[in-house]
Amino acid sequence: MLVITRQKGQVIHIGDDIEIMVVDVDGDRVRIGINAPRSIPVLRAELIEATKDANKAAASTAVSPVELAALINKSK
Amino acid sequence: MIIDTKNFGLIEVIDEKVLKFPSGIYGFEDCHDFVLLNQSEGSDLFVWMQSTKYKDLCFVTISPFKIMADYDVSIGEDVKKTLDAQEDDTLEVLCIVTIPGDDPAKMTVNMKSPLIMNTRNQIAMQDIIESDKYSFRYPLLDGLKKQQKDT
Repeated sequence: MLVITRQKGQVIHIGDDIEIMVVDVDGDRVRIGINAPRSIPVLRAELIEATKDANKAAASTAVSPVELAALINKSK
Repeated sequence: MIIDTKNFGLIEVIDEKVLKFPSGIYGFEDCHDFVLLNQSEGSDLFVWMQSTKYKDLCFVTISPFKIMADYDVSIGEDVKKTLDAQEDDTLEVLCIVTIPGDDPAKMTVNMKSPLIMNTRNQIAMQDIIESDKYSFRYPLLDGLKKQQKDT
């Protein structure tokens, strides 16, 4: 991993289209501004991890369609 | 093509109906092909998303609009690019349901990571909504009741 030291307000460019700026530093919190083309998804890593966990939890469902329908009809 | 399913036995699927997730879905990156099964079995609320390759991999999904009429999934440029979405294409949205084995009534819907599919070419992907507006675990039955009250 490339590690670069930056100060508040300083910018890093990745290729021609992506710009990353250190907007603010406050203790162990860093605010980062990102300029990137809309075709490039920018996501916090923890959202990807949480989605993986959610998918794995959902995949282990053992309830059958009939049981599920009964549950829905009961709750109406 | 005949596939073996988790809940519905052997079924025949025409190739044009197979959903293609080029990048898989999160946590299942090697699972690219699924079919949507609407067998009602007493409730038309759910759609089963069955892997064509792994019999035991079948997600319960639901249209988010059935539990939250004003659900707003803004389709980003990255999604349009992946789905090869053109002007006249119809995109469909489904969200994955998690059903706890010990208390199925506490089932939740992942409103944060919707599945988006292009009905023209059957290309699909799982998106993640960056905003904090939606939850990974939205209570399904509460949402459904609220929705029925409102309509």
